[in-house]
Amino acid sequence: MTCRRVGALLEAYADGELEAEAVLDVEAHLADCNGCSSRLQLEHAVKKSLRRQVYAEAQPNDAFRERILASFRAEAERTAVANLDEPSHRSGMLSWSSIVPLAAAAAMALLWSAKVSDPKQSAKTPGNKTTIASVGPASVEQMLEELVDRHIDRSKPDVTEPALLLERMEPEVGVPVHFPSLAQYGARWQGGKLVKIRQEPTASLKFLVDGHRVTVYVFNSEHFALGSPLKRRVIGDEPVYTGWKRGYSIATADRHGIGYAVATDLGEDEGAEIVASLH
Amino acid sequence: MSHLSTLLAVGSRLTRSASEAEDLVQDTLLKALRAQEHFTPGSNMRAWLLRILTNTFINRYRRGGLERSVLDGPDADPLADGWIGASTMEAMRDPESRAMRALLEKEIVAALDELPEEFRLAVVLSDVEELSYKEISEIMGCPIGTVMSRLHRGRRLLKRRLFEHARTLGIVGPEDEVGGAPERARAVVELSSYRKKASNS
Repeated sequence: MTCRRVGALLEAYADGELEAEAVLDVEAHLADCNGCSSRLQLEHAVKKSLRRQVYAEAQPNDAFRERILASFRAEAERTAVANLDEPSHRSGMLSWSSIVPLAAAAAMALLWSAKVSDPKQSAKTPGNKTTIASVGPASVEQMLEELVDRHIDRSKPDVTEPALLLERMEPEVGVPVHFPSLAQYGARWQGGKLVKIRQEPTASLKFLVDGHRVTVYVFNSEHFALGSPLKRRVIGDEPVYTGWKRGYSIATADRHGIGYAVATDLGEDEGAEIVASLH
Repeated sequence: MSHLSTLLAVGSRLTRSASEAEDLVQDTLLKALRAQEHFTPGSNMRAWLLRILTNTFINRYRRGGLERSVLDGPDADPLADGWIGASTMEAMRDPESRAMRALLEKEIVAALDELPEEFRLAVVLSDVEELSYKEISEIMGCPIGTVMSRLHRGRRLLKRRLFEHARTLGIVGPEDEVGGAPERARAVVELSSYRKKASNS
C-alpha cells in the first residue's frame, strides 16, 4: 500500500471502523513507514487530549445534580396529578402513577452511577448497584488497573476443582463460567477466585504457561466497555481488544454477552490469541 | 463516567456555554424520562440519550438543523492531508503521555469550539464518546459517508489550528510551513525505507 492510500484509511483505522482485511494491509504498511505511524500517533494523541479536556471542562457539580433530581421529583408529581384527573382512561393499563416512580428511579440510577464512579463521592453510596454500563476511556483505564491488581495478587484461590467453577461462580457473576482448559498452550491450572472489578463480581481464573502467569477473567460484558485506549484487532474471525498496563498485556473480548479478559506478562499477541480461543 | 457527565460534556461543546449546557441536559433527561418506552432494552443507552440531546439542541437553538460549515460542499483542499511533516508531528506530541504536548492540550477545547457545529459534534461523538460511525449517523440523521467526511474535515481543521498554536508557541519552527514540509518528509521516509531494504538484502 502507498502512503497516500494508507492516509485515506488511517482515520477509519484509528476509529476501529476498518474491515479486517484492510486492517492487516494498513498495519503492514505502518510497521515500515515512519511518516504514516507518526500521523497515526498524532491522531491518537488528539483523541486522547480531546477526551481528557472535554471532560475536564464540564464536570457536573453537586448543585447541578440537585437541580436534576428536583426536576425529576417535580415531573413525578406533575404526572401523578395528571393521573388523578382522568382515572377512568387508565383502567387495565399500566398507570402513570406506577410508571413515573419507576422512571424516576431509573433516572436517579443515572445520577447515582455518577457518584459511584467518582472516587471522592463513592464512600457516600455504599452497596449501590446499577446495571448501567459505565463507558468511557477513564473507566477503561480504571478497569485495566484493577485487572492488573488482581492479576498480581497471589492470595489463595476459592475454587481449585474445575468442575465446581460453574456452580460456584455463575450465580455471582451472572454469566456461565466454564473452565477454559488452555490445554493447547500447555497451561497449568492454579485455581479460581471471585473478585470485584469495577465493583462488579468477576471470575478470576489463574494459570501458568511456560512459567508465565496468565489470569483469565470472565464477567458480564454489560458492565464494561472494551473501547479505547484498547486497540481493536481481529484474530481468526474474532474481534479482540488489546493493550498494555504497567508492563502487563491485557486482551479482552465479548462473546454473546460474556466478557473475557486475559492479563499476562506474556506478549500482546499471546494474550490476544488466548482471549480469542475462549468461548 | 456517568450518563450525566457524558451529557454535560457533549452539551457543553454543542452550546459552548456552561449554563446553556445545564439547561440542555435537564431538558434532555426529562424528555428521556417521558420517552423511555421508546428505548430498546439492550441497545446503547448513552447513544440514545445523546440523540435526544442533539435533537433537543437543534429544536431549541437551531430550528433549521445544525449550523453548516461554509466549507460544506466539494472538498476545497483535497491534497492537504500531507501538510505536516513527521518531525513536526512528533514535536506536537508528548511521547510520555501519548497525548498532545501540555501547552497544546490546553488549547484543544478552544480549537474544537471554533469548528462549525456539524464538524464539532461529529468529532466529539467519535473522539470523545467513541461511538461507531453507525451510531453517529443515527444521532446526526445523516448517512455514514457524511459522518466520515465531517469527521475528516473537522479533525483536519482542528489539527491545523493546533499546528498554528504550536508555531505561535515556538514548539515547531517557522520553517515548518503548511504545505512546505510534506515533500521533504516524504523524501526522508523514502530514503530511510530504501536504506532499510538495502541493508536487509
